[in-house]
Amino acid sequence: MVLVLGLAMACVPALASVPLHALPAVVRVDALSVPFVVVIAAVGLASGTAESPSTLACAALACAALAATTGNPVLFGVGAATVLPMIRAGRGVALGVLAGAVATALLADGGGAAMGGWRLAILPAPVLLFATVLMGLSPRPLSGARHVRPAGAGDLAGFVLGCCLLVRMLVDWPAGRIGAPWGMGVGGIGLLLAMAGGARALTAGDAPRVLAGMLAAWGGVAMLLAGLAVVGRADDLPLLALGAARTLFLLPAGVGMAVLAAILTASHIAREAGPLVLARAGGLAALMPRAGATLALALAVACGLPPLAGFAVLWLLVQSLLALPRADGLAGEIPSLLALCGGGVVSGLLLLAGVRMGAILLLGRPRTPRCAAATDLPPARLMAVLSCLGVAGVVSVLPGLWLWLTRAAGWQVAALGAAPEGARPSLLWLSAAGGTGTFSPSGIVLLFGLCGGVVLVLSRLGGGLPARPAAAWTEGAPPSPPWMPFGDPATQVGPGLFVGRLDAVLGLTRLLRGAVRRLIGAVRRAGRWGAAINDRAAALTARHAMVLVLAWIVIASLVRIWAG
Amino acid sequence: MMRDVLACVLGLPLLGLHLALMVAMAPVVRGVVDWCVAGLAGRGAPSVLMRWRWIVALARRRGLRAAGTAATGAACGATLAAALAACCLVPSAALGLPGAGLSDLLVVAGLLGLVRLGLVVTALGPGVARAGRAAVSGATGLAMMQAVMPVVIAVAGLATGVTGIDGLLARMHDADVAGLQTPLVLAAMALLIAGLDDAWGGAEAQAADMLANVGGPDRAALELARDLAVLVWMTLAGDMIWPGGLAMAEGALPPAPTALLAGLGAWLLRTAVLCAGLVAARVVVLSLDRGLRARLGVAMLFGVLAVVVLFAGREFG
Repeated sequence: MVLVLGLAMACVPALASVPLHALPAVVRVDALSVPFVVVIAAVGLASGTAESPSTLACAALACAALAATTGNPVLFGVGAATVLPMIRAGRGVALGVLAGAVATALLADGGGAAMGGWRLAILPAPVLLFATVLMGLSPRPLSGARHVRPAGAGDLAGFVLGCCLLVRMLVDWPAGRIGAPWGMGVGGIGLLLAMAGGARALTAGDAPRVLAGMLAAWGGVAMLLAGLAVVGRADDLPLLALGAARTLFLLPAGVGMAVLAAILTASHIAREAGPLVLARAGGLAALMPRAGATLALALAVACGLPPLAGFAVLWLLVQSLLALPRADGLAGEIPSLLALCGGGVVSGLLLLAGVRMGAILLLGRPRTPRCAAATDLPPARLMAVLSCLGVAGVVSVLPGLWLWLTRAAGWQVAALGAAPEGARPSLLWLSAAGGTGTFSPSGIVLLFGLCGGVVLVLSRLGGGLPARPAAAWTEGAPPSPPWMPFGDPATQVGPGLFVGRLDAVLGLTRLLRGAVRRLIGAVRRAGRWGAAINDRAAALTARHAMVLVLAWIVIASLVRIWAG
Repeated sequence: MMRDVLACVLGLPLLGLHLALMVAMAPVVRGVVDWCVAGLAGRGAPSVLMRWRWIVALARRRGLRAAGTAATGAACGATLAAALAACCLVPSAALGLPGAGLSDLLVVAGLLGLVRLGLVVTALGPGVARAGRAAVSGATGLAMMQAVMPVVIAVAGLATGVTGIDGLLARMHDADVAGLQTPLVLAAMALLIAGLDDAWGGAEAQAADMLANVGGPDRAALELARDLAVLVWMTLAGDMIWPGGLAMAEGALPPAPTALLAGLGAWLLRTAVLCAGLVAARVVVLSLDRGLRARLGVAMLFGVLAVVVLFAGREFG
């Protein structure tokens, strides 16, 4: 019902504002849609070659591509609202569609040309909600099977379209500039959601849900970047807006493609080795070396290891936060310092989640018969995955190439008009928004390769003997009993160890069991009391309505007489 | 263009010398720290060259490959390569060496994190519990300390306007840094506390647990990488504390030999002072077993203090 209502709300202004002869001009690929359409097309090509692609996911990708190409807020809203139910389910979708309808209605007045005043003041709230639901972000820090869906190719459509939506609705279409406090707010909420996504990735019980958590964490980072772009435009800092926009364009092309490669590889591996529940799977690197290496590389990009694309995004994010406007001395610096700390926390959570997933799935011993009998994938089945990983690799090593392709979009976000001829981004170097530094991923790769070559040559010159295979030392543990053919779980590394160690160091459970738990209990009790009081008041009102109306009239008369 | 090529050609031997010195000194520095700690604890102090001898002996031995670790075999070489790459990016005696443009605080911290991660992955290879527990502890520490690095980078960026190591040190070397010295010293301390995983009390026992199933040249590569990581963190922190001791390149030409020797002496002096501080911290203050949270807290405290001192210096003169 809400979906229909939302679509109707979005469509009504469209009928009035979009003349039919202007339709070809509305559906077009402009500079700002290029980064997103290219990524969605690549996702569609890669996921279309899978054995049993979900029809709904394909439809979502097609609608996402169509939506990203529209230059009209109304059609964009309709497209995004159509994609939403295809990739998500539940009450949040209705809220998201409604929020999208509101945001679209606010923007629908002549493409935002006459927009200003109160509309700009409330626009970020529905846009934030719409993008949050589209990208599957949630403040919930724990990953439960009820609340978190496993990641699929369709989720990439939501992720990319969410990034596009934030840029379009907050930066490109509004005729006026949205205030910097809104940008800070959007960024702050994005950072909190990124931390929650990272925590979900760390606590997830199976591989697809770990990837869903990672995608959510990067979605939060995208929201933070959109907030920085808004701040840059509001405070007349075009370099900040340009840096944030370039980072936002790098995110789907680098990290998004790597996450897609990980999703597709995990689904291929699951067909061979059974469900990738972290408590049961293991040892896949020895059994499936090709698929294992592909998954490890994809995870390395997605969890931000240097000098790959995830690290480049985090580096640019830190530099953009350093380029934020400063005022009022130390007090004015506190938000950016907190955001920097938050970025570090997100990076740490992603790193630990990636190590946990990679170590448990790929290393150690297999723990189920199906896992132990898994065979490696033929190279032909990994072609699509390797293509995605290749795109992520090229974007990692030569980020300037992607930024050069999307340079016009960056200038559009920064409100600098057309890109000047001499102001092209370097192919090899990433530059900080505030001019505080440069980063050359290709240089680091070259240096790493040279050092690796030196190590290899020295080891060959040393002429060491080949390694002697030996059974791993079991620290004196007795041999496993016959009813444990895959070894005693107590003598192996499990997924709970990672979360348990972090919990033991930081005392998170103690905190939750203590003050926070009491606070949540108090809030719930207050809610129950409020509901009970509300019920009693409603019942009392219904039973004695006439008496209450008479009493109200008497009191009002007395007050009027007293007031004179 | 020609000037850059000339600087690169003339600087390459210096870079090689710097790398060779770092590799030669790394196990010695660890040996000195262990010698001091053992001596102060009243135990028999091993020779400072003991680690070098051990690494060479390990490299000559036949390797040991535990069941299930075939996938992590290449991780040992990659770990050493990451440590060497980090060495190339942190100046010890002179600024302006080839590749200096690549050096950035976050990149070096990331490469040193890769070294730690290489150890973790190697330990998790066989999937056994004891090595796994130690590896998970190491990975948790690495992930927790990620929160400190951006604060340190913020201090460097706010104080000098650059986050590239060479540019940062050159600016501190040249400019009047009277008001910036204290915040950068505090930031360097935060960096040292957060980054040095392998030098606190209990680190040896943890490393022994992690690498129990690795032997031969692989073990030698990992031990050398650990030592290099410790020395790189100390060199980076020392450079930030006293950048005046570094020799500067003169245009396209490398530094004069006398300046280079003075820079080398200053590096040795800085490293010795930091070794003394590390020994004091290991003996008196922190042990690894229960100190992860304390390390995070102290490192964050130093980082925040650096920001406060930086702004206090700006506002009150």
